[in-house]
Amino acid sequence: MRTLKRWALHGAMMGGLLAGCSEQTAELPTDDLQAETAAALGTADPAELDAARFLTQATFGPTMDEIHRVVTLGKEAWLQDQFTRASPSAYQFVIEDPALLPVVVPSQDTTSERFETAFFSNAMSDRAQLRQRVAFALSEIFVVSLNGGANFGRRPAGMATYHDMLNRRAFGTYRELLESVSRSPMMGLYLSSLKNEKARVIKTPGQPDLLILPDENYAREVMQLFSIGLYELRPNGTPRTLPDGGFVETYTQDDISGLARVFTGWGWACSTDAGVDLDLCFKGNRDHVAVDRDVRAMQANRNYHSPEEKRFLGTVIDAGTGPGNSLEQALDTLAAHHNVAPFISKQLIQRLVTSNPSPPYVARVATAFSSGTFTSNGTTFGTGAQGDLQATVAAILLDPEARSVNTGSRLREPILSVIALMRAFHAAPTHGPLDEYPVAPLSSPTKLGQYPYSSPSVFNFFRPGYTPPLTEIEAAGQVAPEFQIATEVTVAAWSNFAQNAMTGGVPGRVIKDAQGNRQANPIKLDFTAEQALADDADALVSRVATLLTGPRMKNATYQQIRNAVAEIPIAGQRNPDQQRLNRVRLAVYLTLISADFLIQ
Amino acid sequence: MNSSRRRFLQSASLLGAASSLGSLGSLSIPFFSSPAFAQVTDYRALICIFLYGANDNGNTVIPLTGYGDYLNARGGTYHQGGVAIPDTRLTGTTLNGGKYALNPGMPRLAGLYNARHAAIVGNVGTLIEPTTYDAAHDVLLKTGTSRSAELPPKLRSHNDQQAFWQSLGVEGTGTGWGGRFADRYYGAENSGDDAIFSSVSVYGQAVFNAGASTPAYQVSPEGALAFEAVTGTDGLFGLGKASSDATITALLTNQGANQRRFERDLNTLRARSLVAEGRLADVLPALLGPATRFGGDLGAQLAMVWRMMKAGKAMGLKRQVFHVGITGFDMHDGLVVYNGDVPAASTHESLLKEVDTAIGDLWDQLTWTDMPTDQKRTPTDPLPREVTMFTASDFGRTITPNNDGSDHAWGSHHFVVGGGVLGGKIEGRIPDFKSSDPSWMPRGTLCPEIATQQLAYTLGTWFGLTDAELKQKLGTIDRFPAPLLDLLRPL
Repeated sequence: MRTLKRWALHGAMMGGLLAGCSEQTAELPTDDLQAETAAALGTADPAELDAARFLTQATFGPTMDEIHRVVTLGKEAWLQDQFTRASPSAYQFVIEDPALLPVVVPSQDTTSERFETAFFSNAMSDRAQLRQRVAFALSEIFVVSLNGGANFGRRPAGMATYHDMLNRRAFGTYRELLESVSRSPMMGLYLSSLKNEKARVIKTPGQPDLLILPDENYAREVMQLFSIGLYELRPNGTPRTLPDGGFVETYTQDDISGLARVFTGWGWACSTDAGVDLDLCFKGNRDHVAVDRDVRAMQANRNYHSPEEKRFLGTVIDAGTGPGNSLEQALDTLAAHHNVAPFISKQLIQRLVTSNPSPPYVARVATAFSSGTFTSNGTTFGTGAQGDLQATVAAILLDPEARSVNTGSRLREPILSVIALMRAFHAAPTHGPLDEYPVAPLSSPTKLGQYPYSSPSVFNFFRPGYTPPLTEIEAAGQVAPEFQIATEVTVAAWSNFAQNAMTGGVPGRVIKDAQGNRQANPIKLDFTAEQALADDADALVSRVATLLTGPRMKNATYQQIRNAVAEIPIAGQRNPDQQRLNRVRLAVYLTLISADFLIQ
Repeated sequence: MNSSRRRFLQSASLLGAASSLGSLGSLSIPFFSSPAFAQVTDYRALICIFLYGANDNGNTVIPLTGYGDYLNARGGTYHQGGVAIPDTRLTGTTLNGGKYALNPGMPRLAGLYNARHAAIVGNVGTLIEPTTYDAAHDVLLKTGTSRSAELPPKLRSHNDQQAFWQSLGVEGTGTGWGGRFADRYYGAENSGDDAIFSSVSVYGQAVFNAGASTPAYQVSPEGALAFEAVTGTDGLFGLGKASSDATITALLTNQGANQRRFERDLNTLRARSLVAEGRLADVLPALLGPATRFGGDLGAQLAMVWRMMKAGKAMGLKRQVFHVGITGFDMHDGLVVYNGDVPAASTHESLLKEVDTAIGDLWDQLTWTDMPTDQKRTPTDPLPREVTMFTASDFGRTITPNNDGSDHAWGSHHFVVGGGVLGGKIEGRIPDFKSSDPSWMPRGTLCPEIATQQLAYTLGTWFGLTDAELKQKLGTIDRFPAPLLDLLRPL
């Protein structure tokens, strides 16, 4: 029996981080699969397969059009083009809901449905796919959740504004992103920095004075999760170790208490009407806060901001410094910390490419993050500003380790699987505008166990260091974050979802027609192009593989699917078109349940 | 079970599922079994009810003698700008003797306590070794020496302390103590395919359930989920049933050498899902029993625990470990909100009410209370003495409020409920609500006086594990000279 190691800091969490930490070679890590190359997958075009793998990492999923664009432009030029593209506003989408006009901000009587539809619609249709995909990754690091109490479900405009902010900041600098996150009223609500007050004393006659101190929630989580993490890191993302093998903690309780003073005095944006009382506004008085408070950055009120000296991480902010200035200094300190580059870079690699990037890969991306530039094949990305996310994202996606077919693995999370399916086959809702995708809730484990912006806590749906027990992954000292939400229930749910999608489409929210009658609104897949190939089982399965798995489909899997598809007869059948459609459905379903699809 | 489904499951079993559900694939982990162990013949189930986000201990067990200290320490009542509960709301939840009351949301737990079926563990928390707080020097000192005590890593951090409570190790530790308890029986008294149900989470992934050999099986509150493509009577999309099943089987469960490591692990999980669902589909429907009487999301989880216990007994399992959970306890604000005299929804009280209801409903089911007269107890219905529930949480919260909530702290108070519980008592103590209390650290953080390991040791002893086994499974338990708490009747 495996014995429980002493509680000391040698847990499996860091096992993966430590693996190979002493190696700094330029070689790619050898994977466990000594597999065939993509050159031999049916009739598929190797260049298209390669582009599909790239798009699986860089977008919400390949389409044939986008594959051709990457093949034509090359990856560097495709990225350059993507970096210039803006995204449509989810906020505009939310407030344009005809049911909500003409109010500026939806009232709190509404629901989050319109925001969720905005998320899926942009993920499906926005040509700025890289921006959408990176913003989604950021939403899993800088987490706010509709499950967070505080009526988040009734703040669709606020949530949409947060999502728009992540989209806007996705290609800026980390420092700008951190400030926007820290001043968002949705984050303020979620981690209780909104209306957080300086220390105060309550005096009760006959009782000792009671000191009420600032809320420490945001101060803790901004360090643990959004910037520097728990332990001192090397530039390659592995933890620094002490002679006894222990790790070095990045902050103490005193740092948290010191930083907590910075995040005091921030409240809702206030009304600009004459006669507004800013103190009443800070307290949340409805007559004094701005009517569109959910979508405006938090506003500081010096009367509630801590006047004391603020000490944390070696920085001292002088007593009497105001809230805005204190925030600037605090965020400068965090953004300049040497942990930020490896901490954020590694998590972005995990969200886009692979669960276990080699330390040299992390180091290469962290260098791009720190220097703010990255050059590949003569194309330079980034402005040179520290924490430039264009340089970081380009370094992640163009790295040889990302481009190698058989290096690295990552379990697709349900949200990405669903959208990849819908994009590959040009899904469209049965009713309503064709570019609106009201995907029905999927959070229940008997659905798929995940839905956008619905994490159970600020620790996201899964932790970057999660290792599934009793697995080969564990034995190899690796991590697999997405396995944290893969259960005996959800793996069956995916098979059922995929099967039902072949005939009934992806479940959409029920809508009301002009007469007010409720109508089911499945989001149907379009298999026209595939049906035209269905007489040739190789052509069909090759196309489906190109769209869904790229070069990760193994020849053995290809043969299994191809042989099953070929068993469905067409010639001499009473309804050959139906048989062709059956072949397509079978090919797509079997590909979707293959591990070749699910392990990206 | 239809015949094609049975054939399918047999073919899945050929992969090795039947003989070692927990170690499908090439990973070889020996069963923890030895002829030296005495075979157990009775049934026991241990249920961990985790309050995710860190429960506010200050408003869970409230002193009535010393209420003034409580009121002051918590900044007065809501109407006075603090978070204390008015004593007028505490009349329905007083405990025996009247010294304490539970949160107003917990009348049924108060009733179980007063009827001696529930006990309170006072000021329990994560420790490495006995630890006291020296206020004079504002440091934590090891008892009797001048050297600092070894402390659990990352106190006050949610994920790390959840992990420590459940595993007694840092986040990322591979096994939890519930799973390690189950290891003793997995492959021994709990044998065959059904051993997969030795350790079950209805909440989702939780390290508590993972053993060194026992897999942490997961069901939803609705039970296991079938792969419809397999359980359907026809092959998929016009393909013959035999070909359809063969192809799907191969894709879902392939352990071939050409599979990537992540692929093999995913396929192991899917094979386990298929086999276990097939087994539950055979037994669960017959065990539905009376219409569900369990309220709330947590109640729905405990209703599934009830069914899984019945299934476990019917299958001949001797020991089962369960995990259920409820989120939302991280109340840095909104801890106590009243509309007039009525508590608002989504407050601490409403969360505790859900816990109270779920525990009360399971207890009523166990004791056959208020059951329809046509519902007769069967031999597979678990008995009160066979089941112990306990609450746990990330850590306690500061007694001193911030503004309208409380912050991350350390020691907390928890409940143990069951027919074997020596109830109606507080094991350990509820520290005074003032800074002169020896456990009081800055901001009313409580330095724990009982270690999580001691609670685990006590529950493990009831579960049937020996002192030697428990010392192997519970980290630094040997540093606590008197590990056994006086909470449960011996077996």
